[in-house]
Amino acid sequence: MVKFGDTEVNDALDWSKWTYKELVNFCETSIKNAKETPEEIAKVLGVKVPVQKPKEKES
Amino acid sequence: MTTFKFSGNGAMKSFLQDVKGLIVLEKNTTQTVAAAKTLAGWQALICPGTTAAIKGTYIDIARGFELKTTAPEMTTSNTGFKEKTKDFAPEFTAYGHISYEDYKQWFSADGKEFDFVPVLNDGKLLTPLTSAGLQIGFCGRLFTTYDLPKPGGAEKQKAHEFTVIFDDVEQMKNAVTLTTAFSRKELESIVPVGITIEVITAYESSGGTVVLKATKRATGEPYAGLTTYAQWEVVSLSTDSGGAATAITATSASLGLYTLTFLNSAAKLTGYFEIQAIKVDGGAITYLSNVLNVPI
Repeated sequence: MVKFGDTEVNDALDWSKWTYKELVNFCETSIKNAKETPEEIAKVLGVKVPVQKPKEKES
Repeated sequence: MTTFKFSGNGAMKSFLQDVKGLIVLEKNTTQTVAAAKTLAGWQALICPGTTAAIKGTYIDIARGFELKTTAPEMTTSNTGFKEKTKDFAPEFTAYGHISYEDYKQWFSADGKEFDFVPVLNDGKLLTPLTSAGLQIGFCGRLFTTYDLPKPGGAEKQKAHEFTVIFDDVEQMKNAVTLTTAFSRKELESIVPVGITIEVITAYESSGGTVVLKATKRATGEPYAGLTTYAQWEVVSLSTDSGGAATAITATSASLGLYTLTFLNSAAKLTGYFEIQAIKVDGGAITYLSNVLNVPI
């Protein structure tokens, strides 16, 4: 069992199949008053967070 | 049946006590006679730690018990010789000492086959034994009555009728009276307390959340003890391949309100599903809800 804000989340499920986009939607609709960011929640649950590409240098 | 031998008469001429309760079990549920004499034996069947392990329940029928068994068929031959040519299995109407909300939970069991163990006023059990000497209930069918509320008076008191018809008179011939180590009231007390759950805000299509309300059955008092997702079980699904409670927000539990998310992995459920809520204390189910259909 893991709790974010007022919401208890079922961490026994296989979260590795979730996309980050799906998790963000889940955070918006189901998790109430969380202090953690969706990225932090994703790390706790084992959802892969997409790596941001480094910005190209302006010439 | 055992071999007939003259067996003497007891010094005490008492009747058996009235049937005041009925244990209803899934068909072919057996246990040892030693276990059947103990409350622990029945706890393992009526209030185990998971809903999957529940094998039966107990109904208090203190409101009334009427035997309806057909009298044995007596045939007189053309010489005037009279003899018994047929026995009929017992049947009776039992009037449950339960609320209408409790009774409604039995509607979906109308006509279903169960094994029944009548419980006498003093806690003794009337039960057949299997050929291996295990305790088993009388195999039979249970019927409920769908009707409007009955008017006041004697009929009102006998509302909530269960008609039970045993299948096999042979089981009655082999029945024994078990003296138990518990009282009828102790058996009654292990039955999980009934909770009513209902949908307050419909299943939400974008995120898969639904607001549910839990109240104590018949009184409507909010029930605050269902604060973890594991207490909300998905009983069946109509179209999806899987589904479970993914998250719960229970900040309004004192009002009996719970916001739950039910998903099939990351996807939302697409067809209606059924849920049941339970509370487990000390390895035994203490509160058990109705099965609720969540429409989508």
